[in-house]
Amino acid sequence: MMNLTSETKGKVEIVYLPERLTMANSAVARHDIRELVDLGHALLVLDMSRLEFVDSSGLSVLVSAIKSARRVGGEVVLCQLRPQVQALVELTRLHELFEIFVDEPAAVAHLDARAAA
Amino acid sequence: MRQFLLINIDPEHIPAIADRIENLCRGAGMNLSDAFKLKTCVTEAINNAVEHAYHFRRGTIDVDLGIEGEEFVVEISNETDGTTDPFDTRPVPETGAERGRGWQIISAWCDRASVSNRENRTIVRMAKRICN
Repeated sequence: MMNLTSETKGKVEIVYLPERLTMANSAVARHDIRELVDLGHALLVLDMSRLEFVDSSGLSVLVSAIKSARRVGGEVVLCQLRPQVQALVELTRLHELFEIFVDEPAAVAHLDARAAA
Repeated sequence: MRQFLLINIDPEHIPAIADRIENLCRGAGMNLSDAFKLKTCVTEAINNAVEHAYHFRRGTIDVDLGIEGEEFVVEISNETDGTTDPFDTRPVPETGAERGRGWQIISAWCDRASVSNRENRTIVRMAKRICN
């Protein structure tokens, strides 16, 4: 994991997205998340509290992440979206693809419950 | 107010250009939310040129912007030699698709948007009403 920062909480990995997720860094972010999944961290919380700006390249990273995780039985959820990012997620209907949580503990609890089921 | 920028394509530079346009929108009296939306649309249009017209190779993009009546208008144009991919304006992709959201964003967040070709250039024209 070279570029994105992450933190392990039990069986859940929290990935902190940067301030911007755009064409300039989306390939690296996609690679980092896939690497995490390949290493066995398939329950991911994408913490978007720092994310101020995302474009369609950045959104494709989110879709890629959930596809990678689900392929191995995992799941990806989002938390702490800023209003403008939330608006873009809803415009592109990604809120139909992802569970979205107000805060990180709620997101972790959701995935913990899934892991325990 | 009328500004014209000629930019060398580099994905690293796109955010700074978008920020500049957002600031110009704010300076023209556009509210924060609409300025953010137009900034996002400009980013999508430039991304499209970088990826589909130039395939991440070197090239230039013209950014022509100004106020027309009650609207802030931005035109993003790139060279085309007939072999470049057109702007993908097909309908919204399925929810799980990884690509194809650029035009969806532009058409939803601009009051008017169009793609045209003239004189060996592809031009994406976007307009947003200035509301404070």
